[in-house]
Amino acid sequence: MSRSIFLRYNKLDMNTMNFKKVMLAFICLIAISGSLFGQSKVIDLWNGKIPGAIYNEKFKQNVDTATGWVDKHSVVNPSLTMYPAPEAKATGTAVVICPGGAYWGMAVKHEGSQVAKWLNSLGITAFVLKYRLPDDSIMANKTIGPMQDGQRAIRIVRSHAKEWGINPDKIGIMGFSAGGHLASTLSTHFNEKVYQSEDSTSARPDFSLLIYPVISMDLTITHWGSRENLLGKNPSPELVKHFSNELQVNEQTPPAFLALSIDDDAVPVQNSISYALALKKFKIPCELHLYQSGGHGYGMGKPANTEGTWPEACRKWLEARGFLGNFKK
Amino acid sequence: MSCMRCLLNYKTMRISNFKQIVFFCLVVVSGNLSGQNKVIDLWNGKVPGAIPNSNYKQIVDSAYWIKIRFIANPTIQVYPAPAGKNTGTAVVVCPGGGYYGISFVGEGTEVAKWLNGLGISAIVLHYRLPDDAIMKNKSIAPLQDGQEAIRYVRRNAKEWGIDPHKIGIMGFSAGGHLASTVSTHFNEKVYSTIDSTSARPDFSLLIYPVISMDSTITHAGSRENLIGKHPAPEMVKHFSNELQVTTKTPPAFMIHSLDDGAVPVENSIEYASAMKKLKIPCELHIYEHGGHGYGLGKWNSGTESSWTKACEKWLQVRGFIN
Repeated sequence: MSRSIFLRYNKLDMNTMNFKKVMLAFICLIAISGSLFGQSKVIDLWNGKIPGAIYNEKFKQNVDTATGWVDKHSVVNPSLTMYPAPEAKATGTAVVICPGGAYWGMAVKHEGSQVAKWLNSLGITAFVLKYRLPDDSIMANKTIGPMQDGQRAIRIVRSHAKEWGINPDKIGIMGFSAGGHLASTLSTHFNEKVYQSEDSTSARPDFSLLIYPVISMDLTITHWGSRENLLGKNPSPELVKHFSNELQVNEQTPPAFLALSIDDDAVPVQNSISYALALKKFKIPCELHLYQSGGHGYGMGKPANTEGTWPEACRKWLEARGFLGNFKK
Repeated sequence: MSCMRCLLNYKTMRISNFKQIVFFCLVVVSGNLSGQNKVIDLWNGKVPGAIPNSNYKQIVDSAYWIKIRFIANPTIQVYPAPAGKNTGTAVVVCPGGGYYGISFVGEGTEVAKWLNGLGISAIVLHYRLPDDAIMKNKSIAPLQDGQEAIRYVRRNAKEWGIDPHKIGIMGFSAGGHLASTVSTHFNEKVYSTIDSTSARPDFSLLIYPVISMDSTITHAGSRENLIGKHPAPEMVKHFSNELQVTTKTPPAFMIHSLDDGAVPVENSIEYASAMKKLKIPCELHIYEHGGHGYGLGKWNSGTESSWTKACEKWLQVRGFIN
C-alpha cells in the first residue's frame, strides 16, 4: 500500500540526487527570505482538544525534510501554518491549502508552502493545513478525521478574519490530489455536524481550487489508495456515496476552479469532469483546465509545459470572480 | 423549415454580437491595409456531386450575425504568414454557423489575422452548406470541401512556404464538427482525388465545437441541417466524431464554455475522453462563462477571453510555433 503511494510520488526522489545543491540553495533562501517574506506562524487547530481522538504514545512525528514529505505518523496535532499576504498587496482573500498524499501522507512543500508563497504574491493570505490522516489507532472515526480538521480550519480563519485582515466572505479552500478530496468534501459537507462547534461560524468555503483532485469514492473512477485509507477495504454503499463528492453537490456548493492532466494515471480525469458537470447542473460557476501533459502530483507544474500555466489560469479566474481586488478594511 | 429552426436557435445566441457588425465594417474599410489574401476556387469549377442550379445565389446575410449562405462554389481565402515571421505552420479555418451559414468574419477573417500574428499561414474555408437543392449527397459535401482544402494546402506547401507536416485544421461550433470530421474521416473516400496527397490534418483546434450527432448532446440545428430530420442510427454514429477517433487522429486543442446554451460542453468532453483512451495528446479548457459563438473572445471580459493565449502556448509546446 505505502509502497505504491511512494512509487507514485517517486519524482520527488530526484531531489535527493541534488541534495547538496538543494541544501545550499535552501540555506541561502532562508537567509534571504527570512527578512523579506512575512513570517509564517503555526496555529494549533484544537488546542489539545481534538474531537474523537484516541491517545497513542507510539504515534511519533516524522517529517522527511529532504523531500518535504510528511508521512502518516506526523499528524497527531493538526495545525494551520499561516502565511500572511504582504501588507501592500493584501486583497483580503484567504485560502486554506490541503496538500495531497492519498490520505497516507502529505506533500507539505510542493503542495503546501510553495503554493502558499505563490498565493502571497497574488495578495492572498495562505494557510497550509496539516490535517490528520485517517488511522484507527488515533481516532474514533477515521473517515471524518480530515473533515473535522478542515471545517475547524475554515472556522478559525473566518472567526479571526478581522484580526488577520481577511474578508470573511472571501475564504477559499484549495486541495491537491487526496487533499482535493478533502477540499471538495468541505465544499459539499460544510454543514455536516462532525464535531461540537463552539459557535455558529460557517464552515462553508467561498470558493474551491481543486488541483488534480480525487473527488469520487466510486470504484470505477476513484483513486484506490485514497479510498482504502479513508473508508477502509469494504465500505458500505452509503459510505461510498456519502464521500463521492460529485454526488453531494447542491445549490450551496461554492464556485470551483479545477486543473488536471489528461495523462494522469493515478487519479482518473472523470473525477474532475463529474464534479464540473454536477456544478453545471446547478448552474454554479465552474472552470476546468485539462492539460495535455503533467501526469499527477506536479504541484505548480513545469513552466515549459502547458500544465505549468495553471497558476496563471487560476489567477485569471480569481480575478474574474473578484477575489483579487483591493480590500477595504 | 430547417433553416427557420436554425435561425431561431441562433437568435438568442448571436443577438449580442452587434459589435461584430461594427467590426465587420472596419474590416471592409481596412481591408487593403493588412496582409494580402487571395481567393482560390477550391474545385476549379468541378465540384463533386454538384447539381447545377442557376437560381442558387450566394448571399451575405447580416440578420442577427454576419454570415455567408448558399455557397455553391466553395473557396479558400489564403492569408500567408508575414515573411519575416513565417513558422511554416498553416491552419485551415472552418467558421461555424450551424451548417446553415458561415460566420466568415468573427470566426474567419479575424481568426486569420490572429494566426498571421503567430507566424501561421491561415486558409479560411468557405465550405458548402448541406442543401439537397445543389448536391447529390448533402451529408458529405462539407467533408469533401474540408478534405480538399487540406490537400490543396499540402500540394502547394512548398510554393506557399508551408511545412507539409504542419498543416492543422481549426473549427468553430458547426465548423468544429467539420474540423473534427476531417480529423477522423480524412481517409474516407468521398470523391475521386487527382493524386495521393493526404488529407490528414497534423493537429486540430476545436473551439466550442459540435462533435456529436447523438441527440442527447448534439446541436439540434447542425444535426438536422447535416443529416436530416430522421437519420439512420448508422448515419448518426458515422458523424458522431467522438466515436470515430482512432490512433491516427491528430492531437487536439479544445475550448468550451460550461454555460454554452447552444452546444453542450459534453461534445468536447466526449472527444477528449476518446483521445485519452488512445493516448493521443489532447488539451481541453472549459471556461466558466462565455456562452457560445464568441470567436476570439476579444469582446469578452471573462476568463474565456484568454483562450487564444492558452492555444498559443499549446502550439508552442507542440513545436508548431516558436
